Amino acid sequence: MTRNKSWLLVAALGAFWSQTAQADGASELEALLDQKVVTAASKSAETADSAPATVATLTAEDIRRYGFRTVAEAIRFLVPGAILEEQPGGSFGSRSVLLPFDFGSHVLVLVDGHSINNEVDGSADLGSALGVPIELVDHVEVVLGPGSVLYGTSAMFGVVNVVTKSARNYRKLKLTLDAEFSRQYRAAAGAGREFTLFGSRGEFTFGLEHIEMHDPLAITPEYVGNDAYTGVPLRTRSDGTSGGVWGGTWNNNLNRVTAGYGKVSLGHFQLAVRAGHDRSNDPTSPFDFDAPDLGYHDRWLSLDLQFRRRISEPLELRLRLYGDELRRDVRWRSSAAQYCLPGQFDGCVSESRGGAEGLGLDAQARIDWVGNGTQSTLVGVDGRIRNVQYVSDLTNARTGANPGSTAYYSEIDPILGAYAQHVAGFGRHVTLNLGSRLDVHPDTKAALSPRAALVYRAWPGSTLKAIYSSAFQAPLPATLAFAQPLLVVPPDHLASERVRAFELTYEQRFATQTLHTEFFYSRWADMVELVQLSATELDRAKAEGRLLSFIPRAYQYRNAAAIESYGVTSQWEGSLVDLRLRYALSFTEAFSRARRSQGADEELGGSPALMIRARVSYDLGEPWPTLAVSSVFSGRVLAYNIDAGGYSPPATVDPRLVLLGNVSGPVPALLPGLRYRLGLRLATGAESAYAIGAVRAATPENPTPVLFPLRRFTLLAGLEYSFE
Amino acid sequence: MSLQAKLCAKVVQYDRNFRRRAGDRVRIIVLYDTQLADSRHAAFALKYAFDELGDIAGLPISPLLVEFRDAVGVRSRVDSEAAAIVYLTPGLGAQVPAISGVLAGANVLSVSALSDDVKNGIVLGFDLVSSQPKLWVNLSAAQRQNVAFESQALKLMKVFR
Repeated sequence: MTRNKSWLLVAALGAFWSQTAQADGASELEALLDQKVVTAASKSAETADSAPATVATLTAEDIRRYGFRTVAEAIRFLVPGAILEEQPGGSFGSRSVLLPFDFGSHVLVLVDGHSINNEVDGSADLGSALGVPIELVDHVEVVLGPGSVLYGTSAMFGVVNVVTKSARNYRKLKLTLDAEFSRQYRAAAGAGREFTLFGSRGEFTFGLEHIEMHDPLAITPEYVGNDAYTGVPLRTRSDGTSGGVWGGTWNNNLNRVTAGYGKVSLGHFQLAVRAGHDRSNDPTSPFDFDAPDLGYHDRWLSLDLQFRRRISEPLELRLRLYGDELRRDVRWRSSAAQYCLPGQFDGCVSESRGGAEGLGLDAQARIDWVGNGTQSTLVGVDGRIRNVQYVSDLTNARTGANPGSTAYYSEIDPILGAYAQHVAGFGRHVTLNLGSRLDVHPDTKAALSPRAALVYRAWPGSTLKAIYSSAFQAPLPATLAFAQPLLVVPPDHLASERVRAFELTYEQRFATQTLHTEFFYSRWADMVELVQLSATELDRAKAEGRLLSFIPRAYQYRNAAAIESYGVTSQWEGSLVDLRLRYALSFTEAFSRARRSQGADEELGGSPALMIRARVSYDLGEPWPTLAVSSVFSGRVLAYNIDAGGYSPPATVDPRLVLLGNVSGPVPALLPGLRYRLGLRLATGAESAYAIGAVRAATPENPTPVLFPLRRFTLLAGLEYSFE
Repeated sequence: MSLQAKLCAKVVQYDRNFRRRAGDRVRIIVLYDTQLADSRHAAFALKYAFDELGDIAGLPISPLLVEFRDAVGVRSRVDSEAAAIVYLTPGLGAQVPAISGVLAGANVLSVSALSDDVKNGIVLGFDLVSSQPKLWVNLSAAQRQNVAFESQALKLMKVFR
């Protein structure tokens, strides 16, 4: 480039920078109004750019505009770096790390600050079983990065806090009907109201919903060979007609959810109640194909009573008394003797029943030392008692005879956590956040989870953050208890899983445009996996009676894996035309490797190294609709739930692009208070990375794995009516 | 509070009568209830935030903490201090009708940390909806208090008539 041309370029850039940096005042006001105020990162209200973590905020407006029907769907399309599998019960991951079959147990999911993670197996559902109607959601804060510093166990990928609406923003009685044609139908109702009682201001909101899903799936048949025990073709249907083939049309892919959430506040008190039940069949089961009345049945009830009061100018006190009750029943049937206990030639029924009751108290105090928020300390103690039960039986499918439980767990445990955090502001430019939490869990060593974050604002609109954070996952009762005399011995001892992460982020806001880039690195240690026993260990387990004598191989849960991940996420987000036009483009490029005690380093299954998200919407102004398109692209991923080295070359899933178009608005001139939405979802590729069925390695009859099928085309519609 | 102060400082520049009202500096009365810890805490935080801002449209800011005693006292302080803005902290909701009554005819922008107060006669209020700040404006109260927001700002606010 000649000198003249380079000077022209500098001049042009300077003019561009001058124009954008010195945006007119209206744009600066829009930019201030576009800022997000978050609470999940440090348990106190702060702007997202000041938070000691990377926080993505999904608003009710985003959810309505783009037509998302669940929180999971909103996260999948909108949160850079997040990974949410599309199949029912799909796992949550981030930044190219996905832990298959964790069912959300490594992300802490809160509803108005109350954890909904299952005490038995740690799972949390962000989809239809979240139990909060989507219309009641005010916003969702997604804090990516280890978050145990204030919350304790489960927050290894981060924290998702679903905040529900106040009555001011959820007035009137609302009715909603929506449909995902030929697949799912949903009805919801809700209301909110403000009132005054005994001279104190109060309000309530509630929402109820019922979902019916029936989605027959076409699953590629696979030849599963002969029963290792009887020598005849493996029975995969209870009527014995399978002839050694698993697959076809899974007609009984059903899901039924009835749930509700309500909140009432009066003065300094707030009470929230969440209850529901979810019954679902599971077409990923490798046992009997398309068996009815099998799968999961969950019931839950939680109560959360909060009290908040400023005792003096520097001191604010918050108390939270919470309780949970949940039941989870899992039922499978196998007509094949090889999956059953000796003597169960006609097959068996596996029933696992888990439940937990818990009662806890979280007390925290915030001290604002100088009265202006620049030096404040948060201290808290969170203690709870939980009663967890888990039992698993294999009964004779024909006679119902039960030879005794194969797994049993019943413990009443105290769990205690103490946390502290100090925020120190130094002038306008620098904020330092230091915190740590100590957790004491049964069956494992105490866990310390520190975090340090430095926020530097060099010039207006810019934020540079350097963050170190850590988290842990205490061993879960379902994992500690899991045993099956044909295949799995219970673990001897499990340590907590741990993750440590470093992030460097830079954000520049100018007018209504924001450019955000983050570099991240994380190390995961002591990850729990099923490990095959050595020959010596196998013999010892048989001698101790923990395994049946004829079993050729068996497994055990152990702290056996480590993961290393690093990469970059970048996003451009903005709005124009008085905030009517909104758009964003982001990409995440990350690399992750797993190191196991057995075998060499390997790529993580199910985790795309590249993800790209783009969205655009335009609000034409009522009575005209809002038009929106969102998209997510996932690069090639390795299939998982297959034997190591089972397929050569390794089984992979092609890159997948999903587009969701949505039109929403008032029903013109027909009925005040009536709103509609119409949506269309299109996807390239028809498979997830999750291998299903009974075959875990290539055979002459099955050279490739059968992967869970996904829809390519879906038509969506909905109506909402608000009564005056 | 810091974000509210920034928003207030930005919005007030869209009042056509702001410069004439402010004169050589922007005097802001931050009104608080001495009996309520929340109110006192918010008042100090607001004063600090305005001190940190330093100026509005080049005019230096002078925040002044004033304890609420009665509505008449508020009007007399507004007049004696030549205040451009009177800012109500949380906890003064019950006093809002009286305060807005005495401010009728005064040349001052009244602001509240709570949007509920806008219904009862405060000109400008803040709300948090889906984690984002929202502005509420009472146009009738604005007219009574000689506040005239430009349309550029009004279209970004929720209007209470």
